[in-house]
Amino acid sequence: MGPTERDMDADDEVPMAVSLTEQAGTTRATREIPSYRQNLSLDGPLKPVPVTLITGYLGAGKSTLINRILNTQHGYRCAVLMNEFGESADVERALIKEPEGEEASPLANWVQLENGCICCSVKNDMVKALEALLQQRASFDYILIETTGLANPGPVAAALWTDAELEAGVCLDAVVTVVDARNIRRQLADPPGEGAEVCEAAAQIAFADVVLLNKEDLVSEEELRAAHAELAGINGSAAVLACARCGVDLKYILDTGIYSGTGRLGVEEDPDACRPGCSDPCHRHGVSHGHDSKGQHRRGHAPDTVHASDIWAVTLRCEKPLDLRRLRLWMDGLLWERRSHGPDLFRVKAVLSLAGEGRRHVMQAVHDLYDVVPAAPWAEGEARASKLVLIGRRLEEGSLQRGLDECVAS
Amino acid sequence: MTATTEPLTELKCFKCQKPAKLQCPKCLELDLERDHAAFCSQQCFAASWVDHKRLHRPGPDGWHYATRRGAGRSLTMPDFNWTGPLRPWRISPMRSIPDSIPKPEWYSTGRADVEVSSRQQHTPIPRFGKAAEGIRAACTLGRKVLDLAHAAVAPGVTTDEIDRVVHEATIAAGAYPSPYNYFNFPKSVCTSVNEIICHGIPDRRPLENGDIVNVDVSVYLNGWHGDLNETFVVGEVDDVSKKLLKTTHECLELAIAACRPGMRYRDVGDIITRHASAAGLSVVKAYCGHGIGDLFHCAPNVHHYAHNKARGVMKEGEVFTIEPMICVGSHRDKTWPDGWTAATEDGLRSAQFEHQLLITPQGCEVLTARLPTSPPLWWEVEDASLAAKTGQVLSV
Repeated sequence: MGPTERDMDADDEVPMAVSLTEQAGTTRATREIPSYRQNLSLDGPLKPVPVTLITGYLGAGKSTLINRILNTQHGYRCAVLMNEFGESADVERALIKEPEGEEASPLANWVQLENGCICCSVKNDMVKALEALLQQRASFDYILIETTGLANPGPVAAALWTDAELEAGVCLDAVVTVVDARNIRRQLADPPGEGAEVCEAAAQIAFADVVLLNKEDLVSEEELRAAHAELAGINGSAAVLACARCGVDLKYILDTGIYSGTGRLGVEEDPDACRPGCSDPCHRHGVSHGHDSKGQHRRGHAPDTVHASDIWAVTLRCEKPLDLRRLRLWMDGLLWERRSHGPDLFRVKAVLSLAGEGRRHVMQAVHDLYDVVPAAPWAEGEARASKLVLIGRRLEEGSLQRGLDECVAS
Repeated sequence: MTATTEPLTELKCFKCQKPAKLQCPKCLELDLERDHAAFCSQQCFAASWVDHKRLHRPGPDGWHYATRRGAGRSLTMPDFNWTGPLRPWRISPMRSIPDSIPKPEWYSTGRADVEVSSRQQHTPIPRFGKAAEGIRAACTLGRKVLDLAHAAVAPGVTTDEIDRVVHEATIAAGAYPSPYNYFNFPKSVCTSVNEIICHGIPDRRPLENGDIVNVDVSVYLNGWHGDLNETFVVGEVDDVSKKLLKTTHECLELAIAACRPGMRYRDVGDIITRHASAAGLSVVKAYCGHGIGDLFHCAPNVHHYAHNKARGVMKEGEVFTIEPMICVGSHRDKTWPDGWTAATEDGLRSAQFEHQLLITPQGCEVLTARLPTSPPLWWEVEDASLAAKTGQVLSV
């Protein structure tokens, strides 16, 4: 007789009823209400686990970078996610890699990925999946997400840029783009891929906080300079680190604090101010230049350099204090009301001088999210000015500067 | 856990209703409902055996604990570090819905693929004319159903009974109860008692004097969703709970007063948090208000906490909910093993009120507004009795 039949046999016979006062043998008695202090998180908000988004073309060196991070002593225990992204953070195709192992296994094996129910829940699926992962493997205190074929990192970065107030378990720390110095100019000249609106290589650079200009040992001085110029034209505020085999000091990549107001924005430095031979990688040693609406270069530029992509950076300045409310209204319009002929903003980084504030303020915008947070106080006698770097398509410096000027406090 | 509030001496025989003296040993071993297991004699027990033994297995006819977000059932209460005094009780078999009722995509599958992948998750669609009328009608029905649920709330009434009232009233109006099978949610309404923030599953637990209970009704009428909720008192409640409910309601009222074309969705949270904090209460951050129309949940996200990055500006015709959840202690939630019920992490109480709004040229229309016939909320009861005593007429 199989087990089921035996059970059914036992069930066919009515057992003897027992007295009502009898207790069960194995006590599943009223569980003592546990001291719920144990459940509470520590006083005050926990620091979210930083997430670094690593993008770049196949072959640029992303895996090399990740292996370097995993094999260096920096005190973090990193979880590595690899993902075949589409336009959104598709959790179902996420793979996670054990630091010691070779194979990547589906994230779904690590965490219980509930079928996404929006159901008035604030955190998107990717954030929830990462939090679930951290709950199960509390030893991780850093997350690296390597993306392959991500045409536009903007939405993914925005999805990871959780509100500080939300006290999410994870928050975006930096977008790191690995660029192949040998091939970048060709890749920037590539037309957009199927279904994509923009050149993938350009978008990846536009959203970068840090660019690793990799394989410098495989190109000539002149090619390297040209690559720098391309990068500066698209994203003037990212820190560009030329390297070979992604050999950079990890302090520029990990736990940068860029989105929390503590990190280096790359907006403040004026490249003309640094001395020849300066090796600080966070200074933009490429050429800085302005663009008008046709992408023609205006100043400080070698005439034979031609930009391959239609994404570029515009720098705006203002010497007078700004009215925050008007500034926010202006940003709302720029980011949320996109028209087919108007500016298409990807990234904004700014240091702001606001009316009535003793501290400088920092503004970050990624895709369609933006935030203004207080940062370091102005020093005595320091000249207070605002400087904004806007990165995107169809950016017309004149009209954008006028828009900013209208935000001056009256 | 003994699953009944009746003292042992008052249990009745399940078959003949005479005073019970015996119980089924299998039920004792599995810790099942006492009052389904009580009998006056071996004879009654034996006579009931064929039907009774079905309770010893999970099945569609029995009362079981919900697991796996409603996709599963368990005979035994799950292990969990419960944060407060409340425990899950067994839930009833799923109710049936007549064929004639138009159903949303999740009725048969439990999934909302069309909703999840819709463009409306990014951009709200403003509603005018027929669409606005349809949504208005759904909201009015939702209000009537909620009022019926409110009238049913009393000490000793189970939340399962509240679910029955909501389910039957919704069906009778030719509408579908939106929560039913939404991602496998097993019931037609959410009932959240005491330390439960939201998404409580109606079960066999009788409401107790001193409880607070939120009833969250959503209906799907002629292709449109209406969504609202209110928190009610059960019998006499303490002053802390009264203040919690009143403050939560005020948070919602203040937010609604500010809604007009041009208002930023992200500013709603600042208003709510300012008022809650001033009263020493905290704001739940993990759940938010949402766009709603032909889809149950879509853009915009309406966060209730301050300093959020929600995108979007209110425009005429946009339809959405504001539904602040306010807590006596910590704002952080911990989800029960059923996968739905969100409890406060410290076990202290939480309250919620929700309205569905339509932005108009001058401000907004509260589509789920209370009716003159709506049963009074606790402070309205006290105001009315005070007015009666002093002979005053209070302005409403």
